[in-house]
Amino acid sequence: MASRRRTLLKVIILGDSGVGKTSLMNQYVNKKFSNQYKATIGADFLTKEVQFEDRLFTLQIWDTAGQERFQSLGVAFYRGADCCVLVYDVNSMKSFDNLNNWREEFLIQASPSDPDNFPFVLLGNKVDVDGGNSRVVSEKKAKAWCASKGNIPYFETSAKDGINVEEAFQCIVKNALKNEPEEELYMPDTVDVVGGNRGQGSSGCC
Amino acid sequence: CTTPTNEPRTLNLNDGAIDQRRSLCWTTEKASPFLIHEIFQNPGQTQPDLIILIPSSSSLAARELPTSQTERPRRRTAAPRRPATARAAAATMGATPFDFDFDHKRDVYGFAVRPQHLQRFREYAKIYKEEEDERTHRWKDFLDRLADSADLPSTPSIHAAAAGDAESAEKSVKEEHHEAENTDTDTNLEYLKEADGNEELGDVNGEPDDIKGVTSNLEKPKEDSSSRGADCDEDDEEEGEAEERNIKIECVDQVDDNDESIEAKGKPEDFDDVAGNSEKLKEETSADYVTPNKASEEFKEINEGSEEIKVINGGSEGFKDQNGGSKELGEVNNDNFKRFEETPFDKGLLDELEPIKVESWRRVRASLSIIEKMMSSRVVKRNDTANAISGEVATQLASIEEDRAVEETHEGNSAEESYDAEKVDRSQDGAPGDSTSVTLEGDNGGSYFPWREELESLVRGGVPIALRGEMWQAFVGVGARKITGYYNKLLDERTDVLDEKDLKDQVVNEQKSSPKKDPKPEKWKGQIEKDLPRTFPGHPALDEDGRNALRRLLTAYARHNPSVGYCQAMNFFAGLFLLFMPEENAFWALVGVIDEYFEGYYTEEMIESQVLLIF
Repeated sequence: MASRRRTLLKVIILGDSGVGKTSLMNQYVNKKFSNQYKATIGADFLTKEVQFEDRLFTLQIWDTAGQERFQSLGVAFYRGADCCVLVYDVNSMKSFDNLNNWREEFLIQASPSDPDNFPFVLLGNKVDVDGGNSRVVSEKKAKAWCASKGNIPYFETSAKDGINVEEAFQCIVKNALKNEPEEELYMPDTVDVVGGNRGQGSSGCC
Repeated sequence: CTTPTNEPRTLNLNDGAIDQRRSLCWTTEKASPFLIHEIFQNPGQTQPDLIILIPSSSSLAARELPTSQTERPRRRTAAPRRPATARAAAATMGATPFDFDFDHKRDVYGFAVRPQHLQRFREYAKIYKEEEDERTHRWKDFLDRLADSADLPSTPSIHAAAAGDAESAEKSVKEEHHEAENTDTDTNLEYLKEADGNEELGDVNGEPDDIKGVTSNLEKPKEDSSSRGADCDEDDEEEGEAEERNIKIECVDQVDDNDESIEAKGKPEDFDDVAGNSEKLKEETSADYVTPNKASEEFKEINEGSEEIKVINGGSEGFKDQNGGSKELGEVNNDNFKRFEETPFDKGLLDELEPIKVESWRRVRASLSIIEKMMSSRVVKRNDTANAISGEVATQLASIEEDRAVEETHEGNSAEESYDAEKVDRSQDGAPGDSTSVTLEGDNGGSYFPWREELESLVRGGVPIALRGEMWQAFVGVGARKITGYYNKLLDERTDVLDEKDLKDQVVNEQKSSPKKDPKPEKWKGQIEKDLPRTFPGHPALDEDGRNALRRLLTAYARHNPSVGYCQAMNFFAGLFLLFMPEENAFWALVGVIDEYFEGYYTEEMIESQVLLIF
């Protein structure tokens, strides 16, 4: 298999249920906000073409279910991620407290080659709510946490108002690329489901 | 069965992106017995894919039916048309989802059509409607035939119940049932002769037709009762036919005693009555079913035995009814019999007696009840104290793990019952392989249902919306699962915290990580609250009442099955059920689907879901 320049970046969005993962993804990809999102079951993803330093990338953003028990499915989704986006709700201390858990769980399940330097980005979402009056996690506190985890980039966002979303994802792309810089990346054999020329069935069903 | 896709998207139930009609077959060990058939993919529809779950036997899953099955000429039946009640029955969340509503940009289910799909939706709407009409016609024809041919015992009884005239109702049931038996059980008689070679049968052969039919039904239980050493008095049974009412009471007494339960089953006339009203009986009796006494527990065991017999002997419609009836009786306390005798047919009175807190329960229409019976044979009630929500409602539902559970029961029982099992096996071996005899449809409890293939074919073609809610219930076996009062009991358990204000407090508490006041926090509560507005957002049915219903439903299920509690995705199941059926029906449908069809998928570990993802 010939190696080729990488064009696909896989990004995982993690965080507690209801912090706005789906909203952030949709705001970034579709530039839209709806207050009628459904609860995400399992995982979903959207792709977006992004240009970075004169190169074109396909950003594949994986939106995951926030309920805790869905973490057990993580290994299937996390594998091969280039960057992990942690999201919490600045109006919910619990969602902030759970960040450790999400991060560790990700590192366990995705088992990246260099866990200490794996790129994370932290987003504190819903800064628009109630004009910031209902906020319970201060920026200072969040930044302190980021510092303790190896200077994770931090953004305060509002998916609703589109605040900082573009900037955050620019940073995410940058970090995803930083993960394995300028390397001629090896792409594993893709499984050709459609062609069916191979002897063995690649389908898991039926 | 097609491989859905290699994308992980298929797991996402709430993803509106699945646009094409297709079947999914999940091949994990747990899921494989079931064919998951998606129907009605509307272009632009934003709701989760509608799925119907069909317990499959090998024949069901594997075989495509010849088209002749579906295109058989339609026979006009003489039966009076039954009023379509589904429309009224559904939409308990407040919507009337069964209309095309182009102006308001909603599909027939009440879901908003995405603007970008609206054009296509309108283009297809006419075709869709034509198809739906055709489907409706086909199903109606099928159900009419079904009601005419196979389901006479229960159909008239329901009519009678509506009339509220117990006496005449019973008579009409009787008469019509005799007719049915004449035709239905003749073939079965032969089968029994071959299988059992019973001497008594020869004697009775000389009798008039209807007696013959009845006696053929008696055959099996008789064999059973003698093996139990209970005395089975032939005269009594003859009498039973002449003096149904007396014997009925007598029969009930026998059941009370429990020792002679099997003999009691040998009186098909009595039990036909019972079976025709089995649901009602269940409602009636389990309402009073406070503490299961030892006797009724024993009886239940015996009845699990009879469940297996039913599988073997299912060729006889009448016998099936007996078993159905006696199964119900298994839950009946002695005290309840009195009430049962007083108001065996009075549905109206029953409703009065039963205190209903939430808008709740509705029976499946008569013509579907036979389908429900077929499917319900899979559902067995047994004691499961580990899961019991409280000592007072000790009867837990549990799915019959094919025949295994039954066999285990036999193993655990006395030598006598093991002997029964052997006997049953033997007669099973002796069953002739021709189509008129019992075809043991896998482990499915598949009794003699000649229309089964046609039904499968119809289901593949889609269930008309008006029928869908009831069909789901019939397939999941809601009627057989239901324990009256259980749902309300679950909700009552902590009425205090079900209060709206407390719930909000709870959510706030959780979010602010403040110490919890509740010593036994129901940790799924916050998640349910989060997901209520995120279930079919924007759907007109999910107004305040709709959300309250959804909350009750999910809360009740979480308490019913604490090992699962609440898992995201159940909200969509529950919401969907609520669109199609009353709240309590929806609860039992949810119980059936999550407990049985998706066992292991939604537990904390989500083992089955992991398996699903890996493959």
